[in-house]
Amino acid sequence: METVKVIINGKEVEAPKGKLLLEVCFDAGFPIPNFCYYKDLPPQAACRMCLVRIEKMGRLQTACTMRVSEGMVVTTESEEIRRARMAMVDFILANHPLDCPVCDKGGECELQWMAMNYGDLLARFDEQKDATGEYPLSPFIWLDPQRCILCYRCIRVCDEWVENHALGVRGRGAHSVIVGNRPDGTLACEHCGNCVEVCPVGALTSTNFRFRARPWDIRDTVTTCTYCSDGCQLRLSVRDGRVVRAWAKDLTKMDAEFANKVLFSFRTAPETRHNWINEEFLCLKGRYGNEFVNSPDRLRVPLLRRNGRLEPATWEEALKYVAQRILEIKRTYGPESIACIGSPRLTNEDLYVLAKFGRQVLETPHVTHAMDVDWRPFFKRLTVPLLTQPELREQMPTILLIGGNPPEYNPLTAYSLRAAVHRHGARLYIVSARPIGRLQVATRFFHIRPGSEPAVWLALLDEGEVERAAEATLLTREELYELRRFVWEADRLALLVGREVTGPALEAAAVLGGMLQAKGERIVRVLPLLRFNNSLGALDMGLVAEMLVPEQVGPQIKALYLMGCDLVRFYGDAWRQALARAELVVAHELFLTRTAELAHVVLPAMSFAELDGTFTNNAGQVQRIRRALGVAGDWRPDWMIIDQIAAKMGADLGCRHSAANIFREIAETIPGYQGITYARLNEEGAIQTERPLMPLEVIDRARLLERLRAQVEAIDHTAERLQEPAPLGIGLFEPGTLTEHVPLLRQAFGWDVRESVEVSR
Amino acid sequence: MRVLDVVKAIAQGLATTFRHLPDRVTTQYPDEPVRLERRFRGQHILHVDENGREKCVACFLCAIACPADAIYIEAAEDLRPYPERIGVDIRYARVYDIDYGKCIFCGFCEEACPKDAITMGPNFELAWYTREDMIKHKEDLLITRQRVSPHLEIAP
Ligand code: SF4
Ligand code: SF4
Ligand code: SF4
Ligand code: SF4
Ligand code: SF4
Ligand code: FES
Repeated sequence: METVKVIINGKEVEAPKGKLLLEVCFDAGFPIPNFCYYKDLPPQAACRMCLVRIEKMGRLQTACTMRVSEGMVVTTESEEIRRARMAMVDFILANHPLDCPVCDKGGECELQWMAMNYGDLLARFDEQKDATGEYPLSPFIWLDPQRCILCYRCIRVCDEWVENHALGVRGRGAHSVIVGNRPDGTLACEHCGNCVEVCPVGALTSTNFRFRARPWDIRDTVTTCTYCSDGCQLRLSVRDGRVVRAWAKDLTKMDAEFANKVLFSFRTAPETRHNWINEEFLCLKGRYGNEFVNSPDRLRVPLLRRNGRLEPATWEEALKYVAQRILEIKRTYGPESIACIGSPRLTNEDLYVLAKFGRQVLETPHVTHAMDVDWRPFFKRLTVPLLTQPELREQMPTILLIGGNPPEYNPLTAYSLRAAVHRHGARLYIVSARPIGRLQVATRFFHIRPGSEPAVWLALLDEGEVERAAEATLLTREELYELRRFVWEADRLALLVGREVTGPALEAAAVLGGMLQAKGERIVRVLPLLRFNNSLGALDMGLVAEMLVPEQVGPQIKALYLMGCDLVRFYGDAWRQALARAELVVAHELFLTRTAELAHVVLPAMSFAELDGTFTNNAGQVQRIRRALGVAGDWRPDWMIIDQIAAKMGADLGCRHSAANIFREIAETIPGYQGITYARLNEEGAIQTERPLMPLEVIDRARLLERLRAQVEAIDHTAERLQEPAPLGIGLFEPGTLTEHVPLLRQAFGWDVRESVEVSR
Repeated sequence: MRVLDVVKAIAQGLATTFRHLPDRVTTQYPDEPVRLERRFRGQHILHVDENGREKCVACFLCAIACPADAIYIEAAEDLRPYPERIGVDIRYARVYDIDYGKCIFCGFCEEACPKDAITMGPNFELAWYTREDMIKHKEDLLITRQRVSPHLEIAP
């Protein structure tokens, strides 16, 4: 990279040529006040707050648009600049309502900070202010146009981060107003709330946080999102034992002092630098979907079935009952009659203890978890390392996505894909049976027949199969050759594998990377788009037995130990009868789910906001979750419940009363987790596990091709392409076991959620 | 002579004492009102504007200024037009509690308030039988609800 020398305030600084002057100054330790500048967004030069003096240039220049060149001599602090900044603040405040006491942003507002540091004591404008009220733009977002300083950050974020293009400006000059994309000015968008977060002032505010707290009386805890497998980091803000918001804004990039001021409340992780895998991005669920932890419907005491009804019981009673019944069933029918089924939402610690309990105490082979797609063959044959989000954004000039719908199911991945295109012009090829809205940045889109993803993999693996693949996919041979060239000629390639890819095609996805790398000097990384926050962790922790079919329960399986998994909801009503046939059903749950209703014992567990633990995301990165809330019910961590039951059965699982201890054992026994500790996770954020890679020679590729061909033959060759893109919200706006307990989401999307069943007290 | 000087000094001193003996210093509280200076810091008063709207906008500044952590507030939204609503702004305090078991009457809350919504009032009779009673709610503190004790008078 070519570097240039510039002199800033007399200090000589070396910087990459063409970098923004504002960023160079920041790095050199001379932060320049700004509003409309935002890292990684196109420069706007709307606020003129960043004025600096550059030698040999007539007027003061905006540092946020100026690119550094050799020999530039810059002054960022002088009387002239001080006065210019003062005038700009005065100008911005000309119509600003000064209602900090009622404004949600008060206390963490960039304008307050600028006015305090760079403004004048008295305003020079004494004209009447143009007062307008606040009004909602959507069920999630409110706008107070008078507070808006017209920096256009929100518009740029909506365009670039989430590609909703939902915000715009109406009117001109001082009368410009931010408006939504509906004719009446409201918003039809994916409601990610990122626009609210980047807004430097309180013009955009979130419904759920409005008026509920102030930055100085909340406590932030950095934790990991509990929804999709991308694994965003977020801060959960808690006031009075209730989660009031989730946010991810990087305050350090403005000014370290500002960050300290805003985050002076107690924090559990060092945040002098913000090295999150999601940068500042959060999606609808990560941002607005956390309030289920406050829900009054949470189970608070153990429930035990007596006379056919679930009735409150003490922990002692419930645990004793479970231990006793399990021992009886094991004695009568043998260990194979018991099955343990976990959930991919739980922490590694919980799942590890469940697996250990199943194998060592119950001695059953049936230790598994609820899976939507069976990814086991993929991870077994993995030939290249997994792709992390920062790598995807910064280092991958060629990207191929086959299947999946990232904007709906893996929003962070969608964000990273867009960032890769915007930041360094990555070429993104998408192969999908349905047009994907909100990934219009793609270079090429290959529209295939529904279900024909395996044929694409076949063509990528073997040139001789292009003909067959063309027939199956409805793509032309030229298109398939183009895809092949794209993949086989890339230096650095990212392969993204959607959930439509199954069976042998999934194995092909795992093997292709190795084949490409064997061909020559190049880097290939693969990202499987798993569904749940800890789908990969569940596999790693060894919950890998074949999932049961409901028919097995009764004749073969007598007892079901369910940890956080709602079988009836997940796999359908056939499980209702199956559960009724079982002699013992134990369920750890947060809510009385359809499955828990049918259980014999329901044990109230803790949510991610009350627990310490770790999740493993789809890139195999381990990240911490941290306890953000105190104890508001008589609930216990899942691992502790199992530990206590095991103790009652006379076994010791070695949990020693802490998640950290369990994780220490995980690090010792689970391949890839070696050397990872909580201390390191606190320090480094995300740590990627080293996955065992399968050497190419071991894989019987001829056999794989054969099976892949058979899979291609089985494709329905009459199906037509789906012309309509998937509707907005097909994944995001759907109720889930957790999101349906979030009042805001329930109201916004009009979910008809059945009333919670009354439990007698 | 030294002895004479001493006796003279004592006599002078006692003369002052006896001169003031008829003055009445003790206030016969509660039979007589206690006279308070204007800047006396007693129980807080939450104010309303000229139309009876509560001035407090629940900004939480008093709560953070309070060194004793005695103030608890919950904010709420009231979107009705001004004549109908509770407070001067659309944001008001749904709950405003001061715990007189904690308050040290420093007056920082009054200084912090950007809306002149809270001031230290004259009421000083702050004794109750339970700790619960020591927590006073918005309803007790509002100027429209709070009675000035008959046992005090404020210095002109
Ligand atoms: S919530 Fe997200 S999608 Fe909607 S306008 Fe804001 S940035 Fe755009
Ligand atoms: S609403 Fe906020 S982010 Fe958008 S232009 Fe106004 S001040 Fe900027
Ligand atoms: S993208 Fe995934 S991990 Fe990130 S906030 Fe959304 S659901 Fe959570
Ligand atoms: S007078 Fe002082 S101690 Fe009492 S509530 Fe006000 S700030 Fe707190
Ligand atoms: S009394 Fe004053 S400082 Fe306290 S919350 Fe109300 S307006 Fe804010
Ligand atoms: S930050 Fe440079 S003009 Fe706004």
